[in-house]
Amino acid sequence: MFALRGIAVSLTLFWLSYCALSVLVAYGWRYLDRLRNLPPRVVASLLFAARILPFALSLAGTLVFAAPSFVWLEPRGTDEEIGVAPLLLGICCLAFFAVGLTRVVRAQTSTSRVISSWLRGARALDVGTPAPSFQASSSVPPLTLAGVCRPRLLFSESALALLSPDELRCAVRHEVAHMKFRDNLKKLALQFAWFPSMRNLEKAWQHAAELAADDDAVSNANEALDLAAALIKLSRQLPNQPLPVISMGLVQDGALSVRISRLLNWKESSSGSARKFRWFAVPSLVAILLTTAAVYGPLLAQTHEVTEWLVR
Amino acid sequence: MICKELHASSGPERPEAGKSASAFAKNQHISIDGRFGFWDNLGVLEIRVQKNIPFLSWIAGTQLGHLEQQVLREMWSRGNATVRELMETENIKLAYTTIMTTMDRLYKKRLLDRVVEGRAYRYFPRHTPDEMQRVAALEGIRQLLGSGETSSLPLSYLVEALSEHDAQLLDELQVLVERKRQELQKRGQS
Repeated sequence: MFALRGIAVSLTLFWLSYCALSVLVAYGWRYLDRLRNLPPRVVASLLFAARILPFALSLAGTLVFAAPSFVWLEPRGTDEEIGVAPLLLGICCLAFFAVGLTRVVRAQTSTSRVISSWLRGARALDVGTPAPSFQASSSVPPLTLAGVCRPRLLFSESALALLSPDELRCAVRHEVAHMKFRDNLKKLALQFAWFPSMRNLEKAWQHAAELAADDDAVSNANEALDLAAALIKLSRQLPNQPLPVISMGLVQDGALSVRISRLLNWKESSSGSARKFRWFAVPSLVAILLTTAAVYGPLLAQTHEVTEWLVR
Repeated sequence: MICKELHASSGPERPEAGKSASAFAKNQHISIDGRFGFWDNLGVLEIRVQKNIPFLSWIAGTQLGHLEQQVLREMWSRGNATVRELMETENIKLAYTTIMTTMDRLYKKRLLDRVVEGRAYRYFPRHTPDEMQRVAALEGIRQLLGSGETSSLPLSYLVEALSEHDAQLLDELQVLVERKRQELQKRGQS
């Protein structure tokens, strides 16, 4: 009974904090207007962090505070029963995990199925990418990076025919950048940590991820023009099939215009450096950890008070 | 689809006040609420029918008269003004009370905001011309989509028009890329 009560209380706390934080993020992220001046790589990271923050914080709060406070501070001898509220909220939380897991499995299965069908009759290519590359038929999207553990790069016949070697090189580098930033894995994580009203934030992240990959793919104005030309050429090709869920396509983004105009006006400094922002992130993380360690005892006691209130 | 920001050189840019105001004047019906900001330029514009949101909901079906449009245009170009300051501009030759009534009407329609300044009010436009133009365009599209007996027919017109528009824009962009390439080549040679 003690263990069951502990699980119910932990799940309840997770669920309550997840919902509250998600609502806050879903409606508050638009006010991050200041992000506009940061490099796209940083914007993409911050947007993804904001999207995953409710899940990460709730999980951390549950594992670091809720569960230990119950184990250490709850007297074991009492025959206290689980209240209706924590029981219902715990069930809601379990349902959330079940739905998240189903979404992940479904997304992964459907992506694998689509990629397998595209790979039927495909020809292996050697374009010098870290991921295996294939040439599929013309009906598939022009250039797609699919898969999480074993990513594969798929070119349509028409993309290979249309693009010049320089344009193709830049387009491939764009997809390799997605692979480097593990964008497909992030997409899968978003499938698990689902919440309504997050679609716009996810769209904004995806767009920023495209801009970041564009920046990573080009290093001078000529390459920027090559990538812009590739985008223009490939956006004229209307694919017959939509992209699978866990994949990144070169021309999938709705706001293609913004990307092209950025590339047309590309400057050495326009891509910015994301590296210096790591120097802000590391000390902040260390400061948070130190503060948490310093006030861990009192926080644990307060968390236990909250759980006591919840159980009643 | 390629969106209208195609012509923007980099990042979000506000159109000229006068230009957008005249475009706005052609679209007098406003009945959709949109929240606008930096993220809208990333193709994340969130549009809701006003019935669901108290903000701007009263605008539904509102028409702006010639005088109201004129005052609104002047407010966009000035940024903020009192009735007396507006009276002193060359573009508006009207009596004090007429301007005051018009501005008050625009305030009540929530197109202007105001703060007390001495014994008068200082007015500010609540929305930029760009925002108003967007809202008007969205309403136009909404009306178009709701106009046919079968809902798919107007949508197919829209898709057709957008495809043509997209192709044209892509042609223009291709020309820009080629021009830029030539510029770079010339710069490299010199």
